[in-house]
Amino acid sequence: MDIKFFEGLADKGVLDTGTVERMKSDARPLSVRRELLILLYFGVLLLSTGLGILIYEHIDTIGHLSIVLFVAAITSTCLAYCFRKANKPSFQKVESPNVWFDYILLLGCLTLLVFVGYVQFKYQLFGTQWGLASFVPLVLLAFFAYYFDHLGVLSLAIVNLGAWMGITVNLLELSRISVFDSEPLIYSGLLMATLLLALSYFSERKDIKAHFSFSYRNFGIHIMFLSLLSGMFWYTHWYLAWALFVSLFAGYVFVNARRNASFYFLLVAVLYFYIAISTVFVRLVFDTGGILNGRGGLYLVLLYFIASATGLVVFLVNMNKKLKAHDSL
Amino acid sequence: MIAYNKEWLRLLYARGQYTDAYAEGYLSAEQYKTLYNGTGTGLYTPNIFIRIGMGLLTVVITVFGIALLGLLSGFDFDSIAGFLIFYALLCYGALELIVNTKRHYNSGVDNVLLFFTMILFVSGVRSGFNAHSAAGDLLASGLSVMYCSYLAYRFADAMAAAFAVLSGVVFVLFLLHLFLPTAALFPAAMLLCWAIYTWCTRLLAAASRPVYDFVLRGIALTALVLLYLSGNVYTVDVFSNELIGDAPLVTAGNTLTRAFYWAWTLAVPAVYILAGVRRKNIVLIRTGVIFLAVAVITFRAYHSLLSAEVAMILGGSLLLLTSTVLIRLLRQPQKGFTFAETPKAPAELNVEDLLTEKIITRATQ
Repeated sequence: MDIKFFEGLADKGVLDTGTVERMKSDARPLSVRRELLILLYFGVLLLSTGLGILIYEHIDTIGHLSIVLFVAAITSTCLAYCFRKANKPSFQKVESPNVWFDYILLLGCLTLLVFVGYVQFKYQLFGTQWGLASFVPLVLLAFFAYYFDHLGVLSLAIVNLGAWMGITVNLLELSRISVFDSEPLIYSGLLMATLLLALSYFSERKDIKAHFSFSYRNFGIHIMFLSLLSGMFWYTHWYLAWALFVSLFAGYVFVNARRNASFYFLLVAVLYFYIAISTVFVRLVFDTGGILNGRGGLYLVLLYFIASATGLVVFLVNMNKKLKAHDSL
Repeated sequence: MIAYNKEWLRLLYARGQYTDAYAEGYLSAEQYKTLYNGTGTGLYTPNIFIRIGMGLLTVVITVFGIALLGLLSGFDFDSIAGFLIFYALLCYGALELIVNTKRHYNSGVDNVLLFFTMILFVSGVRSGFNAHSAAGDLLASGLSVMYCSYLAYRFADAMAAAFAVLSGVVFVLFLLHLFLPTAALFPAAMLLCWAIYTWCTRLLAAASRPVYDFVLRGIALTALVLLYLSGNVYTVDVFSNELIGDAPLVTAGNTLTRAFYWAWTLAVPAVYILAGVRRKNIVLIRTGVIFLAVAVITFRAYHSLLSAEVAMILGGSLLLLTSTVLIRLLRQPQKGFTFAETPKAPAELNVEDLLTEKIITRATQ
């Protein structure tokens, strides 16, 4: 706080001198909470990465079983601590019992993933059922996220859900593992996004961990847009139809964002819609042929981007004015 | 002259101060409401997400604008300096227009336009003058200082101020290099940065400066960063070798030179942290911690004592131990520091909403 500024106010009679005197004499301690938590985070990150590399480098001398036992020991110790210390589980928000709890739980969940992956890779715990190797941790992570009320673990579970759906589809197709570059992956993306949006809706509607709703919605909306855009690029002859789907979904997100006065989702809807419309425009220009298929087309595209982006800026200015009275994330 | 209404900038500053004082419990809810209601301005500063969106779209407009103008003018690399400076001036014109007619202040649009006008101008003058010629370097950095300082003053912008300080230090180094050997340049840069930092902190401590508060803080932080970098072994080697064209000063230097720069690289971060703890200055503490990491990376770049994984394990353990001990220690405030959260203004008293409603009601009546 700028004490000189408040002294000026007191001189003008806007503020009583007692308040300013209190500000001057009150030696409040300086909070270094954020700084210490960042140090703690980097400590965990450096230590786990260093250990990971060390184990990898000396895998032949250490032996696979020792590594598996070591990782299992970390996982079980972390989870045992969390079960012992956790507050009573509830469908509402539950606070962490202490500062370290969230980090220990996260470490336990990460090593759980390493453990399952390692055991499956080395000892084929689930045989050739590779999907099961990601489904089991998915169920466990979802359970821990709800039981301990941890948004980070919930995000891990959602990512694991994506991996499970992706791997399952890819193994069915016996093709390479990549993101949204094949038909089944596009459809599994659409399915996953729908599932996440439904979960978001129900967690709010039924008031079961309502604060998880944002994470579900956030993942769901981005995955839906990415899947639809991938469809647009994959189905070259049907890109107009896919662009229409993108526009319809953008319209849905936009209307909801306006209703909830959410600037974030409004921006997301506008930007994805802009990508889709711009792609259609560029393709139409260069597919038309004739005079537009050369420098003329290039000029037109450049002018389009300048004009459309200017138009969108004006649009965002107006939306900001309309939403400002009741804004939220 | 400053582009914004100074009174509005003062009101914005006052709003921030009132919110802090209310969060700290020095103002009652009633006092806060009354004071806050008097801080309405005509400046346009949207929500952070709208700001990001508008900034991204301005990048699109500027980049495609450059491409279009390049195509229309039959762009060739011989005339790149003129082209870049011309486009920088176009961005400046657009910035003036948006600020004067639409009153944009940190809206994303003005930030991006300011950034582009600065970068394009600096790149333009740099490529316009012969690289590695003393006069060219001097002229380019001198023009950059003038343009960035003008932008910092006109738009009360901390980023432009930071660029001005950076160009200023480079300008002084090039100027001194006309008379002094390379070895004397870096101690001169240290003194200059120290002087700038001291000047800014004294100005900030002497009186309340609502309009240029953030600019002065930006200059002080930049000077603090440059003060360390002007003695960091890696930056000294790169600057002396690649910009001035001499042998790398530390690597090719004698024992005394090496000892001095290594001591600076490793000890200054600790000095920053200690000074920050003594003065209860969070900026000094944060800068010190970041430079501690930079010092370790610099050391490892020259001397590989341990393998990467062992260094990570040791560093991680040290960080874990330090943070755990400090968290335990500061649960109860100790020597002016605490682990408790900084108080925030309660959400239930959303005065901004009340204020916006009032303005809208007034406008519709």
